[in-house]
Parts: sequence; structure tokens; C-alpha cells
Amino acid sequence: MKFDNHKQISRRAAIIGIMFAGLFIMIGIRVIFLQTVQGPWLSKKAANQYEKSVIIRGKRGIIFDAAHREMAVSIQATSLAAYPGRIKNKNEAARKLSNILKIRFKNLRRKLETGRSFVWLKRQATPRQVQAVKALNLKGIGFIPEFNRFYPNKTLGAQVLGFSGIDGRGLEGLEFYYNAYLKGSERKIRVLTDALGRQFDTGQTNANGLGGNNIILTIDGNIQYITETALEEAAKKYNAESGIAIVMAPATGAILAMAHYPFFNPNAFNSFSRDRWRNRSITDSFEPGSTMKIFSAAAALDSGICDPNTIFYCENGEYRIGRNIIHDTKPHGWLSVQQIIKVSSNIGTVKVAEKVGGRSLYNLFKKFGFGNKTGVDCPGESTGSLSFYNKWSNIDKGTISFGQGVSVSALQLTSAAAAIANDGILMKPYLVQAITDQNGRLIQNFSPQKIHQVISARTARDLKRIMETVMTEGGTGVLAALEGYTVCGKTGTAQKVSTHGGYSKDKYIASFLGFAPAKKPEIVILVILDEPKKEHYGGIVAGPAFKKIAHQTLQYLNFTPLRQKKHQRVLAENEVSG
Amino acid sequence: MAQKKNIKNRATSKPSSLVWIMLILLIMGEFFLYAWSRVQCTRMGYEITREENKYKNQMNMRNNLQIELSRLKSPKRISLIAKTRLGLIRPAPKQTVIIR
Repeated sequence: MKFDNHKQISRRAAIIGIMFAGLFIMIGIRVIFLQTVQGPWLSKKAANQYEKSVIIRGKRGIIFDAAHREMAVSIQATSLAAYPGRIKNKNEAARKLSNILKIRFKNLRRKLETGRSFVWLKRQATPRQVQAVKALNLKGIGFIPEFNRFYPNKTLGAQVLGFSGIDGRGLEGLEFYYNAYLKGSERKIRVLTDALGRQFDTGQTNANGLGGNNIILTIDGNIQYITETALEEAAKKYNAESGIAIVMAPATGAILAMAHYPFFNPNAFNSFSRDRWRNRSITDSFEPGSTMKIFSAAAALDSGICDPNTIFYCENGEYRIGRNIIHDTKPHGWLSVQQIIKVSSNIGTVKVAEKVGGRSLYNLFKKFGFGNKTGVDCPGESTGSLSFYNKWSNIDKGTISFGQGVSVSALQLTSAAAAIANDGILMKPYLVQAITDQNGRLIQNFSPQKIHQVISARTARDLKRIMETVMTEGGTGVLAALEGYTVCGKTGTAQKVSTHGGYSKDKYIASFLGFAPAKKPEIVILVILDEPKKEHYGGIVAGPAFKKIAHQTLQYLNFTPLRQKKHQRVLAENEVSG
Repeated sequence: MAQKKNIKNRATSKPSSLVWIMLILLIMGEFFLYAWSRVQCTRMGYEITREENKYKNQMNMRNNLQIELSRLKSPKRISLIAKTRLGLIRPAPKQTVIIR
């Protein structure tokens, strides 16, 4: 009996032992299976629970003016998003959020009730809105950090700078043109999180090295302000539809200011019509009118056919070409080339052009850059329109010589005048002088580029002398003459093309193109006012604005007025003699 | 003879149990040290994250202050203050003396 019990116990123990051994073997097999076959998949699954992907975006680069003042910067903003699946009471949440975010309750509720797992509530909300939403302590609301573009000077140089969209991509102006340099890069990283969702440092969250490059403009914020103020004042005084003013350094082609009226604020670009966004001095072309006469005179002088004193009969104010009659504002008899420019005689200019010939005139206009892009670093540049000389009729040759039947952009006109100021050398206009990385290290430097010699230095000198007389008594530009500085200039009054065909009788473009100081020009200025109401002559409407810009800019750039130099000389002599 | 052998065995078994206890204590100590260092590592990780966030916030504040400064230095604002608050006017060319 005892033996039987013992045997039974041994058998049971053996069975249990076998069972356990079997279980251990099964567990062993399972372990091997989990470790080898399912190992990578399980590791990934586990990692997903304590790791999450985060996209780090670098900040968009800064746009500086020539004096390294910030013109466009990026600031940290918070965008509000919702994860509708996690919100329990959507109606209540929408009601609370609509009060804070000033979004219609219906729109918000519709957003929250969509089947999507993620919806934007408000991109780049104000700090106050963010605080208020945080205080609600709602589940399923995400606060996503983003960068917002900010223009601290608001309207200053807005059309040149352009703006970037909500996703940080440049949409207009230099923001668009230099987007590839300015935009920051992105990096996707995985960060560790704990059970509470707190991020744990992995040393990767640093956005250093992801920031975009900075660009340094040739535009000087102060000169831009001077230009914009003078332009706005003139446009308001004469109730003009719009206006453009450009200031350029003739020796380099660097654009110091580029103003457009009416202004717009790029911080709220959507509140303004699209017409205001455009950099019209580059994208739009217009008939320049009498400012073109200086280039016709340049053709005559440079070809050697005429000199400044060559005289032409101005037909006492009426000159017939075929079926068309050309008029002067005042009747003139015999005038020299210099006087033709001074009094801005259309007939005199036509006579000069007839002597020069269509081919020479066309070739020189082309050399000045009319009908071609200047190559400025800004999007949407217009070539203007200058038809080939073979297509010119006699009347075309005449009218083109005084700026009708040809269209140019404001920048082309400024750049051509800069060539005269720069002893006949045409320079490529440019807006960006350097690109640096986010730490200020130079990446690319843009130096002045000579295009070609348009006219001889002697012709340029003669033209300067002629243009100086425009500012003297009897000339059309007396209102633009500066006290203390010598100025060269030319007025322009162009009739606008009518929508019914022909030229409008009451719509004009008034302009003034000039440079100062006459001997060694430092700045070339063009002022254009579109459809001024009370007056329409370039000398009256645009001349005073030119004067204001020239005076204040020369003062800002520390150019000594002539009288002071004389005064200083007298003082020095007295000191020596005394 | 057998009694002598037992005494000898007892004498040798005493230090071996002590060694075992010491070994176990050492291993346990090592475990505690390892756990402590892991906890410290995690704590430091959180601290680093907190400090990095603080640094980021301060950098943001610096950036915002710089922007505020450039807004305050805008020529339009300064010109307005000069004209309205300080009563300044732009000098005529005659009134300008440039000192070099």
C-alpha cells in the first residue's frame, strides 16, 4: 500500500514536472519568437508610446536696410489648433472659443464637428487670445508655435520689401525674390516623452543652424522716409492718383530709396487692394514725356552732328509732319539745343531727332537701356516698349524723341539719367548689397556692375551743363532748384493715353528727373505723379518734391552746400591774413 | 580524527558565508547605485529641458525687445516726436554747418 502511494506521488510529480517543463519550453519558444521574429515591430510599437516626432523650423532671415536697421523680422507667434476627437462638448467649446477668437460660433462648431483629426482654429493668434484660451483649460486644443513676419516700420518701403504669407513663404517683392535665401529650413526629430506628455531632453531640439539667411539692402531707411514723405505731400497737394519716387547712387547703381504712393502696410497686407502691393517702379511702364528729350539731345551730341549751341528753328509753336501738327506750349523761333531742353520745346526736339535720324536715336535709346530689362533683383520687371526704328513713321520718330509712343519703367528712366550723371557709364541697378548667414557672416556680396559706356564723358558733361540751365530762370525746372547745391534736371509732362483712343485732354503724368550736385552727382532722383488734379506740369507738381528729397538727402548724406564751402574759404583766408 | 575534520570544516565555512553576504550586499549596493544614477540622469534631463525652454523664452524676449526697439527707432516716429513734442524743424542749407 505504502509502495503504491509512493509510486503514485512520483508519477504525479513527474507529470507536473513534465507540465512545467513543457510550459517553460513554450515560454522559451515564445520568448525567442518575440525577440527574434516580432522584436523590431514590438520595439517600434513601444517607442511610439514614449517617443514623438517634432518638426523644428528655423526662423526666416532678417531684411536689413543699408544702415543695418531691421526692415523685416520674424517673431514667435502661437497658432491655435483643435483635435476634435478629444473634445467632449463641442458646442460648449465652440461657444467659449468664438468669444475669445472673434470667430463666428457657427464656423467654429462646423470646424469642430468635422471628422478630421486636426483643424486649425486661428493661425498666429494674438498673445492675449492665447492666454485667454489657455485659461479655459479645454482638452483637445493645441498651441502650436510658429513664426510671424513683422515689418517694424509698417509702410516704409513696403512695395520693395513685399511680404510673406502665413506659412512663411515670400509672396511679393524682395521677400519673394530672395525667398530661397531668407527661408529657414526644417528638421524632423524624435523626442522622448514621459507618461505625462512632458518632453525629455535629447539634445536635438535646438534650432541653431536652421535659420534663414539675412539680406542687407542698398535702401537706406532714412532716405526712404524722406522720399516717401515728400512724395505723399506732393500727391496729396495735387490730389494725384498715385506716385513713384526713386533715389539712386549714380556711381554704383545702388537704389537708396524707392517709394510708391499710396502706401500699404505689409503687416496687414490683406486689408489693402492688390494694386498697392506691386513695385510699380519696376513692373509698370508709362510714356515718359519731356524727360525723354535729354536722351534725344544725348544722341545728337554724342553722334557729333550737333553741339549744345547748334540752332534749330522752332516754327513759332506749330510744326506739321504729314497730317499731324506738333505744338509747343509757347511759340519759339530759333533755339539752340541747350535752349530746346531748357524750355522743353517739342518742335525743337523733333528737329534735332530728324537731324540725328531714327536709327541713331533708336540705337542710343537701346544703349541707355530702354526696351530692355535693367536686371534689377526684383520680380516682375517690365521691359517697357520701344519699337524697332524700321517701324517708325515720320511722326513716330518725332513723338518718340519727346517721349510719346515709347514707354519706359521708372527704374529704366532713373538708371538712364544715372548714366549721364556717371560720365556716360550705365550701371546695373540693384537693391541687395549682401547676404549674410544668421550669425552675420558674409555669404555673398553684390558689388556694383558696369553695363557699358553709353555716351562719351564729354557728351555727359555737355548734357549736365544743359540740364543745369533747366533750373535757371526761364527754364521749366526753377521750382526744383536747390539753395546751396547745383542741380541738373528735366521736367516731364505727358498726356495719358485715353481709353477712347488718342491722348486724354485732362489726364497727365507729371515727372521730374534730375541729379545733384551737378559737378559730381551723388544722387539721381525721379519723381512721378499720376493724374495730378490742380496742376499738371512736371516742373510745378513734381519739381518741389524733387527739391525736398534732394535737399534733405544731401543734408543727411553730409554733403556740404556750396555757399558753406565759399563761406569756409573766406573764413580760412581771413584767418591766414589775420 | 573525524572530530578534527568537522572543526576544520566549521572554521572554513564561517568566512565563506560572510563573503557571500558581502557579495550580495555589494551587488545590491551596485543595483541601488545604478538605479540612483538613472534617476539622477532622468532628473538632469528634465532640468536641461527646463533650462533650454527658459533660454528659448529669453531669446524670444530679446528678439521681441529688439523688434520693439527698431519700431521705436522708426524714422516716422522719431520725426513726429521731433516736430510735435520737441518743436524741431529741418534746417535750411544756410543753417547747416558740416564739421569734418
